[in-house]
Amino acid sequence: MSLNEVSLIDVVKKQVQFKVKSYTGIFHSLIILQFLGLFISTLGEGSMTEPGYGRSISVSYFSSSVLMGMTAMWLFLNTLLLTTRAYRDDDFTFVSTRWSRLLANFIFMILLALLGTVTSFLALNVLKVYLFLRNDDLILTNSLTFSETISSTLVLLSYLILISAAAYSIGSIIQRNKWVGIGISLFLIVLGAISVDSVGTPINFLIYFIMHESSLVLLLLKISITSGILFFISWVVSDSQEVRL
Amino acid sequence: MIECKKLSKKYRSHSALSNLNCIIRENTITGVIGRNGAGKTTFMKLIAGYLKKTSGELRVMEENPFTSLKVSANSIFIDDQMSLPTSLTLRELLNSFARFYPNWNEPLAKELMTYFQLPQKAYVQNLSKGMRSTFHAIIGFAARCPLTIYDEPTTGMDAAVRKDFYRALLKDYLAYPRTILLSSHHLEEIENLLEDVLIIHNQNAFMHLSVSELKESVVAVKGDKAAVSEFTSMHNKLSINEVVPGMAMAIVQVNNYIRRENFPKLTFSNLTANEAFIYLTDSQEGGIDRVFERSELD
Repeated sequence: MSLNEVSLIDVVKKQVQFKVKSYTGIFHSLIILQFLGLFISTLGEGSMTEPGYGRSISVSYFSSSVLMGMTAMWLFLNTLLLTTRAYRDDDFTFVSTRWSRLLANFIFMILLALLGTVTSFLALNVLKVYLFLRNDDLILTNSLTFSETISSTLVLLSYLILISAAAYSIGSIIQRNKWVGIGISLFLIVLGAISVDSVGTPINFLIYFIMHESSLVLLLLKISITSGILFFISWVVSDSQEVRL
Repeated sequence: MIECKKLSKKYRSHSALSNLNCIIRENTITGVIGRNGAGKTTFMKLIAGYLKKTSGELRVMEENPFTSLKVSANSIFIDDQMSLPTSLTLRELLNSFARFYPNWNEPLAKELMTYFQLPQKAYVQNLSKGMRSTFHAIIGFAARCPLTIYDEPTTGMDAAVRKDFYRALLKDYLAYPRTILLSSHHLEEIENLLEDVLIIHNQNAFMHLSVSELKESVVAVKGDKAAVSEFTSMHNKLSINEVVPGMAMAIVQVNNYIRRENFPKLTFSNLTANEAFIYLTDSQEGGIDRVFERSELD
């Protein structure tokens, strides 16, 4: 029987299709989490009441930050899960190499981030409609213009990609060596907790470098580079990962 | 198709294969035979590119299977623990395989699913052990990979399905010749199917020969005790016991043809491939009987 020649791009494409088709649990959990996020958001984030003669003024604030937080957490956890043994062994049941799997997983992560972004924005509008129907005197601050909507979508998307790239690297390290992975994560958490506000420490620098950037183009560039570095780390770590042990 | 030179594989604490040499030709059915823990599965997972070799050389389709996309696309590894997503039905799983494997034989898959009464809408996690193995076997047939590896494919199958499986394997092989590696504990079931046998013993390629050579390499001799011991002293004795006082029966490994007429006092008989294999790889002289004899002495 003659051997079939296959191209990497073709295999990666098939793997991504397979993931979209079979990882239904990930999509279900997004729907559930966003409903939960919407529900929490309708409770409002804070309110103040000003008493006066005969009447009082009560102001409630609503925002979509819980929704965004839920989406980010969903992406982080599911990307972490993508590196685990069950998903890995599934991939190698079909046609895969370590390299093609990494590429397919990254494309899949970007798709997830895209999905998370779009659904978050849609859910945000659901929240607006809900508040609009319930209140006569709704003041919508932050009503965005079209270009602002585009740029904030882009920013959310790129942050989500960054989060999943970080989760994938951490997951890959944990898969290679549990203790090294957990050690690094703990180290980052502790270091982050201690030094997040003190100027001059690496974590503070990182947060400043990524979060405090007012130019959209520069921000996207910085996030792409950081994600690229994380992608490289994932590759180095998972390149000799054995399967079906 | 497959070339190993001094192939070794160590897991963290223990070694699973050491210095294995073998060449497996294209379009042959090779039985990978060995006692429990001999290293059969490790050997086959190395070929499938699942595991990374520790040292030595391993070429499959002239490439290193651990990094080769070509090997992955042209080979399939079937065992009872195949990892399949639990979110897809059997039908959807077959469709996924069809997309990945260009030679996929859809009509055959469909017919086999009907024949073995596997419900299309079931999920793998709900299948019984035997049905699951049957489903995996169907994938192996339909994928028509130039290199198909079956590791204990009949685990859990009942006798009738096992028989069907072997018959299907042979028919499918004749229709679409390919390189097949097949490991099983039941050499007696597959010896009629195999062309070559690779015996892995003590982490090594102990013997690599055709089934008929394996059968011929071991003979049983029976006769007068003195005559039998004279005969065994000239050959590699694998086992000897006294059947009745004065009469002995021995199993010997022979390297060249024996002129039986030169030993008129002895009766020779041939063994099946399975018996030959068991005697060849028996590490303890006297077998399990010896253990009980020893424990009774204590």
